[in-house]
Formats: sequence, structure tokens, C-alpha cells
Amino acid sequence: MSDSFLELKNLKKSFAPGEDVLQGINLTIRQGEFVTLLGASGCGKTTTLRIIAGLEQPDSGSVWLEGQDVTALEPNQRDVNTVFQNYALFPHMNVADNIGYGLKIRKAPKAEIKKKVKEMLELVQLEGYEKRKPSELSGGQKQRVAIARALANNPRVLLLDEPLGALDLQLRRTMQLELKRLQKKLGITFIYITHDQEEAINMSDRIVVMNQGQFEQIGTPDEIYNHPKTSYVAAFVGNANILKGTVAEKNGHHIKVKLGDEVASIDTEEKVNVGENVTVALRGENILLEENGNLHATVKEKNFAAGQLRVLLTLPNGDEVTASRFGMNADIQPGQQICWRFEPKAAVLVDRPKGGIN
Amino acid sequence: MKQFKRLIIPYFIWAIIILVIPLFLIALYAFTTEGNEVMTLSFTWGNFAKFLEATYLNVILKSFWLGLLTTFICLVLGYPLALIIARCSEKMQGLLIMLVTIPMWINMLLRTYAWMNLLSDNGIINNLLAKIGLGPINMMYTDFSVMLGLICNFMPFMIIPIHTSLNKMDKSLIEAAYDLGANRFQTFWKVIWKLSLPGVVNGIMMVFLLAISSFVIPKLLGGGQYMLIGNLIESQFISVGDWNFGSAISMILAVIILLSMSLMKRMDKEKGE
Repeated sequence: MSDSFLELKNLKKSFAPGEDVLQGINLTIRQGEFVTLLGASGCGKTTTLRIIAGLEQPDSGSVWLEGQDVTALEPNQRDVNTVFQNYALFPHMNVADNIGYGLKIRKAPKAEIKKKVKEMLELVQLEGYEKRKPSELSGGQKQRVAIARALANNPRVLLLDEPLGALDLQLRRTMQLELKRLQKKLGITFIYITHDQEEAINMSDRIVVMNQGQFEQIGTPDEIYNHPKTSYVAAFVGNANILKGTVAEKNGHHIKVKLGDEVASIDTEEKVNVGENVTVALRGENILLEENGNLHATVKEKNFAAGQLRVLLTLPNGDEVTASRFGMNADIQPGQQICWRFEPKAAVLVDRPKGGIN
Repeated sequence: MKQFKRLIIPYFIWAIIILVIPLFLIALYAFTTEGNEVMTLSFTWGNFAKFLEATYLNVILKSFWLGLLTTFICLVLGYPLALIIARCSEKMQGLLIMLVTIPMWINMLLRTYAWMNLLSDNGIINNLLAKIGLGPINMMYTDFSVMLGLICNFMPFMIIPIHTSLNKMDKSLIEAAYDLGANRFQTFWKVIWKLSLPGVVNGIMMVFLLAISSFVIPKLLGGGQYMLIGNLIESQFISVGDWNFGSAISMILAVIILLSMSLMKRMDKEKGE
């Protein structure tokens, strides 16, 4: 039972004929897990969340909570609460009334509501804000109230729809840590939606990468970042370069891959055959610009951002890759011929046919 | 901002010419006796005292009652309609709001004459009733016909402000209430209704204002004997020729409207707390 606390079975949804938002997704979430649905906008992550909340009905498939089919239950009948993207605080109620709303609806005694509101305000570190109106709060404070309001109902599952999307970077980082702390303390299952891979990696126990209404890969942050299964995951989560090549030689786990006219060594657990076309994912920080590198390229552009130098390289076969490294290097100039290499372990073969692991 | 200040001047002058001077004149007439020369004014409270006679008090009570009833019925009928419209798709909303306002494209007199045609003793409705062996029902020149005219004419003024406030309401608030455990009724009462109150108050004020001061509709649909405060003012100016008394009634009406509006505003503010 603890293994399938919340289960999504073959959920399908489309809003217009021929445009499937969800193409039959399956997911099992454990009690107390922090799961992030990660994907670009329009990938179906919000729809998935709304179906779990009951705000949307799936065309087919079902939602199971603690072994009970809740698909047909209304949102107010589910032990699931949502933190909305735009906070959705009731503007005509003060902070205390917002937080106590769920309990008031359930006709809880006044003393109990008061106690719970106080407890929740302590939890989100907003003591003394009871009488404020939402319009008198900053974005971060509104966010805290929205979380407190959702948690005041003691939900079995808390759904968070890009809750930090509207906050500035600094505040977002603080709130990430705080949310993680809250989740650990309360032991409530969190399902979190974001399009920010950093956020997903920092907070999640498991990440579900979504693309076009399907799950690309489900795994721990380490698995998703270091062992992407598809080129989409590699590019979206790790900002990896995707290279097409052909296997030229094979010696156990060591293979040589032809990238155009040049040959690179890769270590892989994948089962490949000589002559097979493969897709290689290689993150920018693993591209080493070194004089003794066996590969060649022309520098096309370079730019400096967030403490990182990014160099766009054109390979002899016309492919482009981006190398990134810390610090500024004045020696590299556009138009320059350059040598590079990568460690055989740094590259990952992606988009493999299923069941091909050695 | 400073360079724009001068742009206000023409509007300021307009406002004085079309708003302030007429109001001043009405006040002047209300407090003076008949037959004044421009230079010799004799002030009096008589015009206001005259209004305290039972005949006139009855007129204002009746106007008040009819205005309240019209407003109430407009609210009861208009709110659900505004709610239904606000739930439609954007495109549909535009179409429905246009349908609500279409009657206003046609002259009010014409619309009122159309009602006379429908309601009169040998009008369309009574003709149809006669075909199935019923009637005739006397509908014209009654409270019913006057209220029907008022409601039909002023309904858009109730629907549109309510629709506006419902439409600009954040839909996720409704979902949030629902998500937090409220059922449909609780969601409506605690969130939707409360948040639409500014629109409701605006609608009530507009319809009440229009209904209590209307005179063409009661005149046509209520007949010559039908007296509302609007008709009373009109008759003072047009047929009786007592401009001083007419001005006094106008001022009384203005004060009543002002008081009820501020009362509504205060209620709205208190409820919003």
C-alpha cells in the first residue's frame, strides 16, 4: 500500500479532437514522496495536476488515492489540496480567514480554526499577519499564505502548480528550500509542477519529465541529469548537445563513434552493434577545449552569462555544439580553429530502443 | 503631468455650463416664490412645505416602492442571466451581451409603444387569449404594465455591471474554494456572490435611479392618471407651470437618491470587510 499511495492509470485527455493533451499516462507515487512534473509549457503537466485535484475529468483512465478510485469524486470530496499558480487568495478575506476557509467550510469549531491558523502561520513564518488583506502582501507572502491555506486542511496530497513562477530568482531559491523543509517536516506527498529544471533537481525525490502529453522519463534527479534516456530529457534537463553518429568499433563497453569524419570514444552500458546509427548526448561542461583534443571545430560565437563562458562550435560535419566552462577565457575568438575532446564516460547514448541495456 | 493640466480647462467649462448652472437654477427656483423678477428675489420654504401634503407624499412613496420592486426584480432575474453569460466562452459572451443591449438600440418610446400594442385590451396577447377562449385580461394602465415597462427597459443596466464584475473575477478563486472543500452552494455564496457585490451595487443604484425618476414609461403604460414622482415633476413644468414647486420636488428626489446611494455604498463597504 505504501508503494502505491497515489496512482494514475492510463490517463487520457484531449480538449480538441486530434489534439491529445495526455496520451495515456501511468504513474505510481509513494506516501511522503516529493514528485515533480517537469516539462515545457503545453506538455500536459498542469492538466495532469488538475485531474488529480478533480478540477478536470479525464477522457479515460483513473486516479487512485490510497487504494480508492477517486476519479469520479468532486474536488471538495478529495483529500487533495492545490496551491494555485496565481495564489488564488480570496481578496475579500484577510489572511486568517483565507487560511481557515477550508476548516470553516467543514464547520470546525472556532477555537480549533484559530489554533490551526496560528499553527499554519508559524509554519510558513508569517506570525502576526492574521488581519492583513491579500492586497497588502508581497508576492512571497501571498505564496506562503496560499501554501498555509492548502495545508490547513491536512491534505493527503498537496499539489503545487508552478508556485514559485511569479517570484524573483532570490526569493525562489529561498522558497525552494523552505518548501522542501516543510515537506520533510510534514511528511505529506507533494506533487510539484515546474518548467525549471534547477528547481526540479533541487527539490524532488523523483522527477517526471513530460513532453507532448507523455512521460519521457521518470527517475531520481541523479538519473534524470546523469543518465537521460532520451534526447529530449538530455536537452531539456541537462542542456545537452545532441550529436548523431555511427558505431565504428566495439570493444566490450568501449565503443568508437564516427561523428562525421572524426572518431570519438564512448563508454556505454548500452548494447550496440557496429554500423548502427546512435544519438549521443553531451553536456556543454563536458566538452573540453584542449590543444591535445582529437576532435576539431571552428568557433562560431562566444558569450558570457551567469559566470559561465559559452562557446558555440561548428563541427567539420556542420553540426553545432555549445561548450560551457567557468571563467572568462580571452584567448578564444570567433572564427578560430580549435581542438576539443570529451571523456568517454561523459557522453550518454540516448533514444535507445527499449530493453537494450546490457 | 503639469502640461496636461491645461487640457482640463475646456471640460471644466463644459461641466459648469451643462451641470453646475442648471443645478444652481433649480435650487434658485426651489427656494423662491413664483413671479420673481431677475433682481428682486423673494425666498421661501413654501415649495417644500407644499410637498408634505398627503397627495404628494403618496406619490413619492409609490415611486419609491415601485422603484425598489423594479430593482429587486431586475436583480433576481438579471443576476442568474449575468452568471450564465459569464460562464460562456469569450465569443459567446460578446454575442449574448450584444443581445442584452440590442433593445437599447431602439428608441425607448418605440419600445414602450410596442408594449402598449401587446398589452392593450384588444392587443396581441388578449387576441391570442381570446382564440383559446380566455380573457380579455386588463393589463394596460396598471402597476403591472408600468413595472413590466420599467423592468424591460432597465434590465441591461443590472446585467452589464454584474456581468463585468463576474467576468473579471479570477476563475481560479472559484476553483480554490471548490478545492478547499466548499460545495457548489458554498462556493457561490462565500466567493462568487461576495466578489460580485460591487457589480450588484452598481446595478442596483443604476436601475433604482432610472426607475424612480422615469416619467415616459409610467405615462404611456400607466395612463394619464398614473402619477410617479417623475410625472409629477413633468406636470409641474409642462402643464401646471409651477416651476418653483417642480424644482423643489426635483431637489427632494435628488436628495433621496443621494441618500440611498450613500447607504448602498456603505453597505457594500461593510460587506466587503
